[in-house]
Amino acid sequence: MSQTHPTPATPLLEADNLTMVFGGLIAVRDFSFRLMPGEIVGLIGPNGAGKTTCFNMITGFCPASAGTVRFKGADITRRRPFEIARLGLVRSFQKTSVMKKLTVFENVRTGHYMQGRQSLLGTFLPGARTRASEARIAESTAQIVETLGLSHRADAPAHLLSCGELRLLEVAVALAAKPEALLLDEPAAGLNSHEAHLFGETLKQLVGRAVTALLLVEHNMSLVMNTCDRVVVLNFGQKLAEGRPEEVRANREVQEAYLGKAAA
Amino acid sequence: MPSDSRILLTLLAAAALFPLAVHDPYVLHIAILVLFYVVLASSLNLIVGYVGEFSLGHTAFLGVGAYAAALLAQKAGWPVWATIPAAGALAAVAGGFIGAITLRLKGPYFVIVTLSFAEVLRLVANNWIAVTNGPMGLAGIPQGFLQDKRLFFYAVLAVAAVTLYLCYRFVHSNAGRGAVAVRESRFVAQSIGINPFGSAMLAFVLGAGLAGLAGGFYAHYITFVGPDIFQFSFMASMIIMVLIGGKGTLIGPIIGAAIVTLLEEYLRDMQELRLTLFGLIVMAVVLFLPNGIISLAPKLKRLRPHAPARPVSADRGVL
Repeated sequence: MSQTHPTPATPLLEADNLTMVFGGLIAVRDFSFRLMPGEIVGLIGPNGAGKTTCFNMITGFCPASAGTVRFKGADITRRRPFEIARLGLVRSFQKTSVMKKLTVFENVRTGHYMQGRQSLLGTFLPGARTRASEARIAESTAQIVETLGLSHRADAPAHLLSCGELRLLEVAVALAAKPEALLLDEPAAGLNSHEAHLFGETLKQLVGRAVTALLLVEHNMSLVMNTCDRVVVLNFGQKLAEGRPEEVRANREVQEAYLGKAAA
Repeated sequence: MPSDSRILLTLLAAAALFPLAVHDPYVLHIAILVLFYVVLASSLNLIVGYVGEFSLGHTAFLGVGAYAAALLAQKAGWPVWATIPAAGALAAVAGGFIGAITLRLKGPYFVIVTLSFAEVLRLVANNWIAVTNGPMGLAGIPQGFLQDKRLFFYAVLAVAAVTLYLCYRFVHSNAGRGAVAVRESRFVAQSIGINPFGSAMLAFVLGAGLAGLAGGFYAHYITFVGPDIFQFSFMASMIIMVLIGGKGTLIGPIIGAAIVTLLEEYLRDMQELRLTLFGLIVMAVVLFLPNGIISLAPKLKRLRPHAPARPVSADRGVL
């Protein structure tokens, strides 16, 4: 897959001076960051800091009031969500979002939508090409389900899954869309520390193989510290700090944002 | 092989043999009505079950198809084999037009605007006397080579076969999976690259076109089309069929069409009371069997003690 990477110096995803205003409230102000190929970046911050708003601006679900988003060099600031997904930038949602009535296998197969698109003729009078495409999708589905360790649950309807399995399924559906950049919004919410650790290991294996780079909004600090190459801290809608996990952990301002100021 | 296709083929084969065994014209008439409603209910199911929005204006497409076939046959002298497909095509065009407006709406707004389109078309049919002959309707629509009930049966069977084939292909295609994704979660659908509007349009136009085919057949069979075709009674029957049978499934609307058509005939003596009974049945289904009669099938399978274990992948093709 490495030949599809832009040259290492060019960022996969660039956000510049993103600002989001809801009425009189500035939810995010002048937020800029880069996501480089091969990286796992964590976006952290206290509740209400604007992390999900950043996600929504980047993926077009909530177009930015000001600023620009560039993906692979192209301006995507005003593109619609499904157009952005078709360019290879795929996200998950904070509130677990899968197709609850479908089985695990069906969910992941649906995630292959972009690769499976057919002409009207191919849909209603399927020929060899449609059949080959469907076979490839079925194969890829089985492989993704296997990669995320959900094979034993392949035929279970999604509403019967445990919380941890649901999180994996969400990632599986997003992976099925074959993204270059994958944006996960609190993927480990509701997992215990052991599950979160395993989840982190799974994520690390994805980068460089299934996806080019990963951006993660997460509250589970041990997961962030163990998996991310770089961490961006957001507080009250503004970037507070950025750096390697250990640098960020040692940063006084970050500690104050999370724990409050030390008594004078 | 998904089991849906086997059930559909078996049903169609059984239907093809039916007129060989039964000669009673009344029974044949009922069978024709059942198949007509199978087409109509299946087409509505594409919208209710796969777009996930409740259309109360589906009679618009039935009526457009019926008027189109009637006018083409009467004024342009087209043969029956050409008018019925043309009726479907014109209704699909109408579906594209109405869908482009209504599919931007959700929930109750969609319901109301689709209903008003049907009502507007009814008013047009009532008042555009030069073309539609107004409230008098178009009578004496030529039947062409369909001179016999049995031929009518095979004609409607062909329409039903086309309908079920197209529905089957749609449901088991990538586009069908996309439509289900939009119905289940609009956000997830967009995040995996599905255009919700485009996906809904495909299902809507297909549903409209199939309803138009049914309308075209209806015009030739009954030999009369009037503005009443846009009225609510057809709509009520279709909805009851889809809900009783099971929306969002291929087999459900077929079961619903058979049950409701037979019940309507059986209860004909009760006249107005019959509609009250249907109301009660629908309420019962919505309360106790929200996924329709078809949802009983897996439960029945489990009750059978010696039923063979279901192979792991048997249901993969079924959405």
